[in-house]
Amino acid sequence: MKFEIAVPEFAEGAEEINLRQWLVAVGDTIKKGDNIAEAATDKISIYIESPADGVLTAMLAAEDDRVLVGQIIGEIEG
Amino acid sequence: MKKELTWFDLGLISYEDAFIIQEQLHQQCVDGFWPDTLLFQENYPIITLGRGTHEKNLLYPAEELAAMGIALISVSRGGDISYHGNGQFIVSPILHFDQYAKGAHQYVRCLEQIVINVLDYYGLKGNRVKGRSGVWVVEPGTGEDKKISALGIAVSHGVSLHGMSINVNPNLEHFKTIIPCGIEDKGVTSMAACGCSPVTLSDLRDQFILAFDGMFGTRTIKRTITELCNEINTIKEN
Repeated sequence: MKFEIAVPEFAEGAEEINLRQWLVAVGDTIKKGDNIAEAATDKISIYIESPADGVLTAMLAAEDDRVLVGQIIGEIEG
Repeated sequence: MKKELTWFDLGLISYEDAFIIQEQLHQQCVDGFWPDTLLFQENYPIITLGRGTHEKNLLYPAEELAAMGIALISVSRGGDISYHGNGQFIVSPILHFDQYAKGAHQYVRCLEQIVINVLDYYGLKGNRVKGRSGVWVVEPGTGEDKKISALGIAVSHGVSLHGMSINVNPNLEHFKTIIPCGIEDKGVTSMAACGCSPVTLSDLRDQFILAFDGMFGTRTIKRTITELCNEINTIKEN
């Protein structure tokens, strides 16, 4: 089953969000709740958690990309 | 019934030691064993490089900084480069921020408002500057807008860490070793430089707690590490 990784809603209201870094690589096995990426506004670093157990199959945004709340940035096959 | 938080004051402590404590508190808070906490501290001189640091904003090499008694470290908070040192008030709210504000951005703005309210108590008018975070004042001697309070938080597993500082009476010369927060056209000031009567960090801490509780309708109480460890052990045993 495929799970999508979205920029979390709690970042809403931020004027600009950058995908600072991926903390895992495609092919890595990850657990639900693991920190898998970091997004940042001007003053807030936000760790994005895995929504499910599985394997990261796709990164749909690159490091330093500007991203939006709710944007799908990766996929997990669980 | 008001939500209860706890507070600790680590006093004068190295940034690294305080951060170890902060990370452990954060993990316990994430795991549900620790209440939301306001952690206060004063650090020895150190420059911290946030995730958004631009190298050009560090104006001195590490060796020269060391000779001046200023340490250098990379940290996990957002934002650019910051200085911490004696005479600077630092508070790290380690808490489930979504219980206090709708979104991290609003939470940051609430923290800024708390600082503005605290400064008002001491007779200083703090302001926000559009497009820039933190709190600013017009310095009486120069008439310039200067930053008096910096802010940078991280959120992991829904719990915040890092926080904000207020310059009470730090050595402002130390700020000249960096371009604070990457802002080139604005300087940094302190409550002392703005003509405030001498303020102790513990007085400021107490005012911050009052302003925090006023903002969020909470009740923040002091508890000792021993008391909390006993509570955690009881929770884990059950």
